[in-house]
Amino acid sequence: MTTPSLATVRPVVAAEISAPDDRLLRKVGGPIAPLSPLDRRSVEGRGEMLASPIAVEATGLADQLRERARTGAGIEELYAIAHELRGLAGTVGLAGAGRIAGALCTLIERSPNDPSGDLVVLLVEATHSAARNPATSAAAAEACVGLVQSALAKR
Amino acid sequence: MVVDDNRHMRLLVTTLLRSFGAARIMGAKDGAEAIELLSSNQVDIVLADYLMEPMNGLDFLRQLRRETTRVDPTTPVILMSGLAERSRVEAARDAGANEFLAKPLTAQTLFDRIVVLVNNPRAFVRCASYIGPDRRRRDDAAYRGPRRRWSDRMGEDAEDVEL
Repeated sequence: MTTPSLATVRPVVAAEISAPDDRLLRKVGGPIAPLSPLDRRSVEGRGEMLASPIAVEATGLADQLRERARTGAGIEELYAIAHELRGLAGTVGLAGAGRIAGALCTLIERSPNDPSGDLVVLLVEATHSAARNPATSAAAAEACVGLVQSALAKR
Repeated sequence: MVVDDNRHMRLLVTTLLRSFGAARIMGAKDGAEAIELLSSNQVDIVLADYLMEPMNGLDFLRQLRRETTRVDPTTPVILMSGLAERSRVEAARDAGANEFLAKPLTAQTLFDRIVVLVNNPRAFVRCASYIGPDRRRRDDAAYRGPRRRWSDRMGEDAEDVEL
């Protein structure tokens, strides 16, 4: 008995393949050149102008995360707040808080039904502390990421 | 178009896009609002957040790609996410995202994704299991499997290809 080759058992499916559409390329008049250092500084300067209100928002999310955790919010709500914070924090210089919030998201994503309550509380408190004290948050973030990795490795 | 349920992020992305020279930028709070706006506007690029309520970025992307009457399903989409795990990037790719942008975003990373999208347009694939840009970006000289790429088929008349 011969084994059928992959080619003979693979289903044949109709597919429509359209050629690459270069309408954007034509619209901008040809390939876009890389940003010059001067242009990049100018663009980043405009982004930095928006950093202040986003920093306020990010710090507020850290407050909200702790408040909701202390008042019995469900894990899904904590995840939503931490996820939002993770996306905003690094943009405004709160990288430590963002990393810890990201570690909390990872913990919840990988163990949605039984994340360790103590570890969740620790990460929530650490996120809040890191958002309020960004200058000293790097080591705390590193430690928190390590704790989550260890907890997940044991599962 | 910028689709994000966080108004600060919408403002940040919009400001960066304006500084790149984009003249007209629309904002939407979630995927459902984005679909509505797309049905009545010609949009060059959509930047959508991954996690939104009630319609998240993946659901928005899937709906967009399957639309055939109200909106242009080939509209390029850059999906943004605070988490860049492999599973999440692959889910975005398989839902039909053109590019994936991890937050926190910077002017440079945003610009780089737009450059890739504009300078290197990809073929668009429609089949039972996938609708979106060609997911293969590399040209592997050692590849020995079926030749299904648009570039492989140049000069052929075949309408059906094996997947």
